[in-house]
Amino acid sequence: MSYVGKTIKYVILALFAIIFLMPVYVIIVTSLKPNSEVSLEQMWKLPTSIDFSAYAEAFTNLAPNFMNSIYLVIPATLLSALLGAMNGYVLSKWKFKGSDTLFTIILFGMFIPYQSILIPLIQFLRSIDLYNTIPGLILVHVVYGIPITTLMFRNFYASIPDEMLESAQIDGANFLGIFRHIIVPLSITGFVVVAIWQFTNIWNEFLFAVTVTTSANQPIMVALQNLSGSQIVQWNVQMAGALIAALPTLLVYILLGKYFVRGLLAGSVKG
Amino acid sequence: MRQNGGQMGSGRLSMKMHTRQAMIAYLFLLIPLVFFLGIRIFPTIYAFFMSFSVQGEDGYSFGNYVRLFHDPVFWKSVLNTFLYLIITVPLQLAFGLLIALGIERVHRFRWFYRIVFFLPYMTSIVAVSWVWRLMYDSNIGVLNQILKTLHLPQQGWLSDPDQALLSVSAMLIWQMTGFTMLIFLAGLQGIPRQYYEAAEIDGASKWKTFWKITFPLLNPTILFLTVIGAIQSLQTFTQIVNLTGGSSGTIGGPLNSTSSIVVYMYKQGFRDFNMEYASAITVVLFIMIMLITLIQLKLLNRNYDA
Repeated sequence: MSYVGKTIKYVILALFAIIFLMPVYVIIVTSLKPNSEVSLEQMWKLPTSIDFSAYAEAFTNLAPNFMNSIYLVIPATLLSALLGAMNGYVLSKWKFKGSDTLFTIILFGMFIPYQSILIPLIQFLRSIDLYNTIPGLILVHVVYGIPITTLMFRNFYASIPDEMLESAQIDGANFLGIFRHIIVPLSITGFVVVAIWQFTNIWNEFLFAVTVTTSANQPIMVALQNLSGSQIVQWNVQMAGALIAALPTLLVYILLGKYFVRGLLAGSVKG
Repeated sequence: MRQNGGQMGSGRLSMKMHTRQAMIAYLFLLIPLVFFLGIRIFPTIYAFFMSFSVQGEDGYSFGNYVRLFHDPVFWKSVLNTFLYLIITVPLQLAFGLLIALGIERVHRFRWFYRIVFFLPYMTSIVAVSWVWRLMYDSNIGVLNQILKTLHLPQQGWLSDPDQALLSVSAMLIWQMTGFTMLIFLAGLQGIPRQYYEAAEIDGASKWKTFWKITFPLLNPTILFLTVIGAIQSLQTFTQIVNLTGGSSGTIGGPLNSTSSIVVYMYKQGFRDFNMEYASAITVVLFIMIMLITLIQLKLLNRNYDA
């Protein structure tokens, strides 16, 4: 390959990367400015001095909702990863009469647009006293995660040979013993990928959050939408708030992204 | 993997043992299944029944559907939803493929590019929408500043009824491209190297190699991404609400120019508390998504048979 051709490829990719990262520049620069510097002439410019007041204001407003999101995302992620692992295990390694039909039904659930069940869902949550509560949202996310987590784990388990389970069974290991001592240690990558996936989706989710909870119980994404108030948007505060809200998933993604993307490429495609 | 639990012990274990193990397997699935039925399948049926009862009236009727048929905002939202689909799906596939092909061919910084392009897909839609809203802002946004520097006329972007839907679409494409890129990368990795080597020996040009080998072999990937992209664009909601709703805006944009089916459902059900009417809207959405999925699955199967 010619040197010129190679350079062109890198330049094109880099250009695309710059366009992709433009919003990142806007959010960081704006959030570090005082409100007086947020104007058309100064939009591209760096702040004259670094100003954290927007962060202070955004944090004071968002802190309770940030904690709501933490109380939501941790149990919901753990539970749905565990359920997916169990379901995938039963459906791929303990096949019984009708297990394939069951799997099809679970996958079919993935195609039901969740917007179309929103109204009965809220009535159902009301009837079991979980409407407008964090546990209610946890329940919804765990149940909605079942198809995708089951599918992901089922694909990961495909690489574990059945002979291994058979010999463990002959040695006297039972259903749970095999799960704990063979399946779990061999599917740690699977757990990481599924956990990151669920963590990100649940943290970022908006429609369930805005319809199932009100004011004090709302997760951070709804609070971020409401942060702008009803009059003129204070852009520096709004950008600081957006960064605070996006930070947990960004951190997870930046720290583990390399393994996550590799795991997705390896696990998801074989299905 | 095809054998069932009963064959796992190769007949060395007693039948009673197998029955017990199968029972345990059933038990483990029972709890999630009950919730799955209760929260996913049952409400779908319930929503269907609800859509046939009109608020304040007894019994079942087609009242809501008749009203939908004569509701201009509903039709506007349906049209918009299809525009989102037609505009965003082909472009996000094209950009995703272009970037994936580029990344396949570079050797340095490959992981960096993967992460940069996948980043928008992993970032919160709400947070991202607000950044784009600032960039689009007609008074202080960077896009108008770029136009000003180039001595071009300023645009209204999200506040202009003629541009709002396209502006929302641009962000949708930006966000979904990372996802299509990743799936294309996986698809490209699945193409056997020998094909390319054979093409090279035959002296085929790069362009020809792409159209005769890469593109046909990527067909299943393209169809998969079209299905996923179509389903996602039919459900567009969060981006619209955050880009054109809340303060200094109305949900659904100026003159409902960005409203989608889900946005209109949300307005009817959760702003105006007309749950029965909203249910009818969701039934229409449900049928549309099912139809598109079925058509595409048919195409997918035909593609595999050929």
